[in-house]
Amino acid sequence: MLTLIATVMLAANPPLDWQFPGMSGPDLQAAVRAAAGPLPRGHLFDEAAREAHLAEVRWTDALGCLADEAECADGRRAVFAALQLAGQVVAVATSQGAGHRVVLTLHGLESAEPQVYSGTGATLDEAAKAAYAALQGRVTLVLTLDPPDASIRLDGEAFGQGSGTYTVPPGDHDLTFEAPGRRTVKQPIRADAGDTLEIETVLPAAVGHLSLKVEPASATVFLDGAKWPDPGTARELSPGPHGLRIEAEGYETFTTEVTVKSGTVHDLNMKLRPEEPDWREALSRPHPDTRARPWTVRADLRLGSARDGEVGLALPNGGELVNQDNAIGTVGVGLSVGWRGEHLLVEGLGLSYAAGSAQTGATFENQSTGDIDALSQLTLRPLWVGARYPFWRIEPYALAGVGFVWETFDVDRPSGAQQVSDTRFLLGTELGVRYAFDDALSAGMGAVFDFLPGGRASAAFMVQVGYAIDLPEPWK
Amino acid sequence: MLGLCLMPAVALGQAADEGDLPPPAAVEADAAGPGLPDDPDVAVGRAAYNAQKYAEAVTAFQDVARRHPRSAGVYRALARAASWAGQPETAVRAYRHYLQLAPDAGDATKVEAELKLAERKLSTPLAEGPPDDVAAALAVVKARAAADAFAGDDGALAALDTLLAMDYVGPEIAEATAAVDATLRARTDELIGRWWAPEATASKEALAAMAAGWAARAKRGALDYEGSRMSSAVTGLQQLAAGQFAEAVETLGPVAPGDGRLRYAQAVALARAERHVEAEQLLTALLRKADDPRVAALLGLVRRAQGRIDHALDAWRIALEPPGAGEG
Repeated sequence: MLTLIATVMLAANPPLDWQFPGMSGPDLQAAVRAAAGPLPRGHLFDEAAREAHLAEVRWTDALGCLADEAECADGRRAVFAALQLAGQVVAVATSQGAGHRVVLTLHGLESAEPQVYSGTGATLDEAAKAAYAALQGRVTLVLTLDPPDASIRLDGEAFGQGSGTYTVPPGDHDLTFEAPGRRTVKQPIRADAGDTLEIETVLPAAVGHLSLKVEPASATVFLDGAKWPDPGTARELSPGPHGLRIEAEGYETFTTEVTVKSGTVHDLNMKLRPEEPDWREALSRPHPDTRARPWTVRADLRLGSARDGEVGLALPNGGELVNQDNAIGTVGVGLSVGWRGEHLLVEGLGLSYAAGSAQTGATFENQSTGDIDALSQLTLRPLWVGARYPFWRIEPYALAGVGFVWETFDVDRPSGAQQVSDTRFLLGTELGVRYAFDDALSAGMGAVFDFLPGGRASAAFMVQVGYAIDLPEPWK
Repeated sequence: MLGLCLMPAVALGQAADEGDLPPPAAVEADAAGPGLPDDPDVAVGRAAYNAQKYAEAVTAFQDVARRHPRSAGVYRALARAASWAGQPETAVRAYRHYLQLAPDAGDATKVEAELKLAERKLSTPLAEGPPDDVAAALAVVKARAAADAFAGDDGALAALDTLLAMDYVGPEIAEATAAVDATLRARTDELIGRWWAPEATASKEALAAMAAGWAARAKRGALDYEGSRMSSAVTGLQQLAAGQFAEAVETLGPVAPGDGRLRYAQAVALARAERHVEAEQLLTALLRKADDPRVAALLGLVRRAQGRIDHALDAWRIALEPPGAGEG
């Protein structure tokens, strides 16, 4: 019978006669007419269509079943054949609870047994639509969706939207329900022609997907505190923040928070940073011992060189030491007290003594020559200021300031040996590095450069030892 | 009770031994049993019996029995004539037929005694039932009727002729004749039913064979009213199937009233004969009584043939009304 209907629908000839008996006939006629669509070929839904068709029926000598010339299932089929009809559909509507039920009884030309198709619905239109679909050999879907305006796809193609009654061809199909903020739900169906499937679907809240590519691959991933054994495979997660921790031997543990968006696939690449060695870690910040005590006392031993240059000292016995012609090596010691802040370095008072003995050429007044047999320098540094930048226990530092040096020259000239002294102003600087053995004791080395008027200078290399004292800081 | 029943038989048995057969007048005077049929040869047989021309009486009563095979009285007369004629086998069969047809007759006991007397005269006991050749002929008649073969040399009626020509009389002959008639009627009614039923057709060959059967049957005896009606009906349908529409109208005309099927067939014949006005009148009348939608459909076609489309539509609307649509 389905074949017959399909043939009728395609060829539109001969048509199906429709009858709507009973009180509800006109309403049902309108409902079925609406369900059939705008151009229902092959259906005589009303009297006008019926008369138009019958007007084409002519007398024929071949009366068929009307004159025992052929076999028909029954008298009605004989009439259908004589009037060139594919059959007749008798449509009846009844109330069913709060809804309606429409029964379409098809008396096909080829079958003695009528075929019954029915449909139910909240309204007469819905029931008629379902029954008509069944008659057409289609499957009726009664969809109840949450949310009710969810979009519907049939076999991947846009199909409809929202709860309601739909019809689809018989067979296997894939229904897909989608809604913003909800998880997509796929529903395979299989139905035969005329079946009615009632499907209730709740679309759960949408989820996001997260997958990780981790380097090194041996890293262990924890998601929300739980071990995630296969982070490379996308995992469904509820929208919102999720804690992520990645650990690997020899690498720094990485902890972060990932915000998963609904309906989004997050593919993340995570590369762990190798762990820092201890020494680097240590060097990255000053050791507390370098800051433990603010007051310092320092003693040093220095090897220096008093460079040649203009002296300009009057000699006690007359004459003048005009120039030191060569450098003089010195040996000396020093002592200083100071204060140290985080980076500020203040040397409140420094005192050093250096002396050297060697016959060094010198120029005297009138370009006369002689020797300098010895030189001693007692230097006072009243307030040098500098900076330090300690890392771990190592502390480079620099100081600069002014000072006063009391120089004594032992000169030897043909007129005799004599000694001459003078106090001079100087500009000096000191560069060095120290190592703090603990919060008190330190040792280091450095270089001191003093610049005297007349272009003379002295430089000294020194080794030093310091001791830090924890005294109150009055300004704090 | 047993003793009371046996006493008369013993007395009659003693009388039979003494050759105390019924006097010739007993043929017509024995009022205790069924009488003789109204047949001219009854008088012939009675006269021959009373004149002690028993062989002629046997012949006369056999003729009567052939025409009235279910008359018990003729077998009793035949049996007694055959006894006196020295034809014990014929007598025994006739006595048995009498007792078979009238087992509760008032003279049954007496006739049974006569039957025993006749059986003693047989050299060998006679089996129950007809002779073998007669039984075979009866079987042929029934088989051909069952096969719907009535007319022609191979038909049931020809076989019945053969049976009647045999020197045998008995109620089996009547049963065979009645069976042929009944089968003929049943098959005819069935054929008319097939013609009318939408789901079956009556073939031209079947209609022609049935019409020939009725013709053959009519040659062997006058048909009663029902037989005549059926003969005309099947003949009319056969003419309709053969395209002899005018003949069909005439043949069906007398027998169609009272049978909607035949009236419809007559309307078809009228329409095919292009007598559309008569066909419309007949179908309009038939539509008032018939509930088969074919009547209205054919009526619409007849009206359409006359160019009356509006009237045709009226008829077709009726034809397409679903069953029960007009109720309630």
